[in-house]
Amino acid sequence: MKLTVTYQERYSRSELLLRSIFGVFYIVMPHFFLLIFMGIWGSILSFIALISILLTGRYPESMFEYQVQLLRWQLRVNSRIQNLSDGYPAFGLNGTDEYTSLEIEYPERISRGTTLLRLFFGIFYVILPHGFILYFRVLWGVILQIYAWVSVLFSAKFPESAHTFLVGTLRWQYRVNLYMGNMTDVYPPFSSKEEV
Amino acid sequence: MNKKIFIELVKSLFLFGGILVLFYFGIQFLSEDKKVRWFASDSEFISYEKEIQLGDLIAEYIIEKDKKKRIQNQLIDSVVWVVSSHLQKELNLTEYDYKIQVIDSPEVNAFTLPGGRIYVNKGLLKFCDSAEQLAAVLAHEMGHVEKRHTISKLVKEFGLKIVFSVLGGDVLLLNELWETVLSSKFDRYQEKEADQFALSLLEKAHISPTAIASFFRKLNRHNLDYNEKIEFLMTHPHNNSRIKRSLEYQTQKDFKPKRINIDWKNIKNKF
Amino acid sequence: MSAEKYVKLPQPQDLSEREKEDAMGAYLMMFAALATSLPLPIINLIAAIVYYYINRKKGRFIHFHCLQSLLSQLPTTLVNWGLLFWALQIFFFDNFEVDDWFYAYLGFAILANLIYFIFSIMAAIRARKGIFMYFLFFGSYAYHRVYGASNELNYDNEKLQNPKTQKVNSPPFL
Repeated sequence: MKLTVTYQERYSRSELLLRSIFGVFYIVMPHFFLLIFMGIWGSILSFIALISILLTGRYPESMFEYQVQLLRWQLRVNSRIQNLSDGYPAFGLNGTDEYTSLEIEYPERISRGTTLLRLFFGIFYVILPHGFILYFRVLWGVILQIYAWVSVLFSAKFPESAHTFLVGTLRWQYRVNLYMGNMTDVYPPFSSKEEV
Repeated sequence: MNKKIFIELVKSLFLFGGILVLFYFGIQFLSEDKKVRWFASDSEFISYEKEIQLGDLIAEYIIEKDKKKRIQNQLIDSVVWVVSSHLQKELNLTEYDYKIQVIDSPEVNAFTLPGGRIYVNKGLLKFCDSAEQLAAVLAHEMGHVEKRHTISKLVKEFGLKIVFSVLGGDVLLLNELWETVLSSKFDRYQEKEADQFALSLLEKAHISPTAIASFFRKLNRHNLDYNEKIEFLMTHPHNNSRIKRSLEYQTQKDFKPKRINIDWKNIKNKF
Repeated sequence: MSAEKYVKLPQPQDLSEREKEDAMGAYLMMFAALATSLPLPIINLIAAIVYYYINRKKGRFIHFHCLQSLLSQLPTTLVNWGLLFWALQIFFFDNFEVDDWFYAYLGFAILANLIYFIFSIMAAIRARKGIFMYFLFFGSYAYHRVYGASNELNYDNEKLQNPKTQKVNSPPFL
């Protein structure tokens, strides 16, 4: 999986203020309204894919593509909510974005055994350990977001380390989601770095 | 549409319709008795003698410990005797010697003990609009007795061991048994059985079976209008279908209902 | 009797893996209610309808299976709704009674769901292998609708039929 959110040399103060005050209305509400329905369909497809994996050992390609497109859409919206990127996130599954990119390789085979293991014990060996660390990362991420907000407001610069940390948290979350969503058999590393 | 497709549609409709009809005849084959027996087998472990003995023990408890006051009024006793004798003389092959007593309580309620003891509250007597309605209530309660619903309820709730220990002299649990008799509901099969028994008994006694419907209708109206939860309704639910059943009951062709020879309105004023 | 012309049926080797997988997915929509944790009979039907409209243009093979799955889902859903309604009337609203017809219908509904489930799994497995499986009536009808010459739908994996005469524009009113 390759998740990137481009670090901008300069961030727009006016967009920052606009997002902070009205972002709920013009970004969150319209996108989330659509994402809820897409998400419901995504969870149905995910369940169907689980059965398909148990029957055939493969994640159906069209369903996989749908999930990837949905994840890309969510990433576009998340990067704006966290002020990691400027601009308005594109609507739709086929939307493109100059600042964010998500590439997930299609797995030719998914192990049935690993799928069953994830289904019954995933909470113990994936959710608990990763969730524990991510909980603290997210908390620290909130503090960094506030710091970055003030920094952009005064200097139009997003602190690069904060950007790397926040994008790293997103990357980590996506890796866990991919593994628990049966989209990969690679156990998510305890790392936020791109190259592991 | 293609003719062949149409033929397939007809074939599939016939197939599934046929399956449904087959199921219906299959269920018919498993007769009503067999179905109901699945629910009513607990009472078979207690003999009639033991059931009557248990009823006597609970009756003693009601009067002595719970202090339920029996009304000993000649008028009320004779009214109840007249109505119940209309019914009892049509009861063939019964194991029970019915004892119907009136309790001095304003609540609209009646309850049955195992062994043929039926208690009717004064409130219910006052609530009835006619002697026929009282006959309907008594016939219904007799239905619960004849079909052994109360004893079955007690055995189901407490188990045979406890019932036998009460019979053996353990009076501490009498209160529990009594509370159950007073408050718990009969299930819809038991209500249906008691109703069917009552309808048939009323017909034999030349009392119009629609008296059941009129009594329950009045209960429903009173329940809605006054918003007081009538105890009798609480322990005898599933009213709409029961009213319907009473009204749809087919009597014999030569059936002629007779009024019970009691001036009910006049007597009610004297209660 | 005019004989309708039908498009030639593809053989398993003519179909791509994707087509076979998408066709299999159509039958697995019956598990959609489980995915949403709402045991309502209508969820499966809605999922089947949505899947049908999303996937039908991808290819005739997929269209056939989506249509067959959707059509067979309809009577099953109706039977389940009937059972739910009747059971509520008996046990909740007290308007009807448990009688022999209710028992018969209950048995029939259980059998209908079982038949639907078994046949859908069988059809899903065969669709995954690129094999056609025809349900009673629904199979023939779906075949007629999809592979009949009168089907004017343009599929993504087929060359556009008569591109010069393709109707794109039409007036705002009839």
